[in-house]
Amino acid sequence: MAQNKIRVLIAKPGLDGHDRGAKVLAQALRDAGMEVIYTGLRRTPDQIVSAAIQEDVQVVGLSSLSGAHNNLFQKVANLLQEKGYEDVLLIGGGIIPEKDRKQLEKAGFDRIFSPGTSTEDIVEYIKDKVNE
Amino acid sequence: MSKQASHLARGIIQGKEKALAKGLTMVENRNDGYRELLDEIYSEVKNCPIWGLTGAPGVGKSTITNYLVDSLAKSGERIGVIAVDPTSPFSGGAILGDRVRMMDLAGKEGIFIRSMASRGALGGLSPAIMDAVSLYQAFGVDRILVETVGVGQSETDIVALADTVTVIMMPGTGDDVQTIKAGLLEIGNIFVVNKADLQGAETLTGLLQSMLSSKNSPDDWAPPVLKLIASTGQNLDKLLGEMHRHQDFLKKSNQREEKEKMRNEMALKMHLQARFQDLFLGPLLGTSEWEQAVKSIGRRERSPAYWAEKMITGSD
Ligand code: B12
Ligand SMILES: Nc1nc2c(ncn2[C@@H]2O[C@H](COP(=O)(O)OP(=O)(O)OP(=O)(O)O)[C@@H](O)[C@H]2O)c(=O)[nH]1
Ligand SMILES: [Mg+2]
Repeated sequence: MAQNKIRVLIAKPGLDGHDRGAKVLAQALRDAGMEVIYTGLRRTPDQIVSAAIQEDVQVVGLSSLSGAHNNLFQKVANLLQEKGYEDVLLIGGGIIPEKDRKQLEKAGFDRIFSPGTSTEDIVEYIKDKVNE
Repeated sequence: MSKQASHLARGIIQGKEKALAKGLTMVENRNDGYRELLDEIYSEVKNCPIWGLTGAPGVGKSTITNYLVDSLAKSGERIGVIAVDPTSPFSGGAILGDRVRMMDLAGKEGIFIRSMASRGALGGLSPAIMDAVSLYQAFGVDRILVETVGVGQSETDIVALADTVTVIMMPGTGDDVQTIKAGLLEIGNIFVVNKADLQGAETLTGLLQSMLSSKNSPDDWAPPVLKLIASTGQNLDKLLGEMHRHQDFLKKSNQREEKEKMRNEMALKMHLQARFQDLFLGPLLGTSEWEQAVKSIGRRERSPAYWAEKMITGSD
């Protein structure tokens, strides 16, 4: 009998040490029945993409609150594309101004979530998209 | 024959990382084609040493694995890691956090890491983990390291999977004696007292040593006890040395074949159990007989033991 689970990678790129949001989200996704691979802090885009490939996740989620999102998020999106993984659901969250959000959503991200988003909304979004 | 399965099988045999990753998912999820996949790669499976690391949550298994993999890879080996974390019995989800301590390894040539949830397997190992080992061995790795959650007595399957089992403990957990009693003494080939920087390491080491010496070992291997500080790297080279020494011991005493046979039997048994469940248990669930039995058990008329037998044999 098939036993499919949604597998998600949650990663913190760069030097940003704010991990509370990433951990809260990881727990919420676990509680929704998903398998969440958490990478921990201070990862490079290369490490993140390599982990995503080996773990064969359907969803890659990046979290950043330090302001360095534009460069780092973009690198992850480009690398995923380069390696032929443009079909993963790529999402992000943290402190990301509206204008950057729009920009990233044009440049390969499916969705960027802002502070205050309820984790239920994120869970629902992921389930919808993955089962599409 | 599933086209996707043959495609993946070919990719895995050719050493393609993406194929291995997708193949592992297929096998883990028991998706259509997984049997063909396993069968097609099977003639390409090459035996290699399998090292198991087990111990209670947070004792330092991943920190130690990280070191071992890093030094083995530096000597040119290709390494496959399987890191198992528990599935939540409530949601069926899991947080797989072993990569937090292994991230230096990500993206390095010749290292493949896969995090797997236990998915409710009783002995800590699900059949999918045995199959993952086969995929790694067809992909072509020189060694496999398996990190499993050791929660007391349930952690014994690792013996059937790994050639060399390292049991890791730490001081100050308060239940040292219980942990040791729960059968861990029997499964370890090597014992580690990690976090030797914390109080109580001496006592735990002494306790372990005395318990091990009072037990007569079934073979000529006397399990060593090592004190480590994994976070600073202290004595990790010694651990690696002992693991190699145990591997040599197995080879010299012709026990590798025995281990191999145990592993094969275990894999066969696990597949049979799963099939039995699908074939026999599955169709019974929710049938009128099932409902009748549940009611009867609830009214204390007949026992579950009675009903199980009746459902299988049809007679009382
Ligand atoms: C708590 C906190 C800290 C704690 C962090 C504790 C920890 N381990 O996480 C401490 C005290 C350590 C800290 C330190 C610093 N902080 Co601070 N910190 C905050 C604070 C007050 C709250 C962050 C938080 O935990 N929120 C709660 C979580 C649950 O929410 P969240 O992370 O936003 O996540 C939600 C969503 O954004 C979204 N989400 C987040 N990630 C992801 C990922 C995905 C994939 C998805 C789908 C969704 C998603 O979902 C979550 C749930 O809704 C914010 C201010 C704020 N209001 O955000 C400042 C803030 C982030 N910190 C700030 C700063 C400047 C710092 C310091 C540099 C301060 C200093 N000068 O020392 C240091 C740097 C630390 C470091 N090494 O990086 C600034 C950042 C400014 C900027 N971006 O330009 C902020 C915005 C405060 C401010 N207004 O100036 N900080
Ligand atoms: N003081 C001390 N801490 C250590 C030592 N080794 C590891 N740790 C810390 O112990 C914590 C757990 O380490 P891990 O390697 O993640 O342990 P684990 O056994 O893999 O944990 P799980 O996979 O969650 O069961 C981390 O915070 C490590 O930094 C050590 O020798 N001394
Ligand atoms: Mg671990």
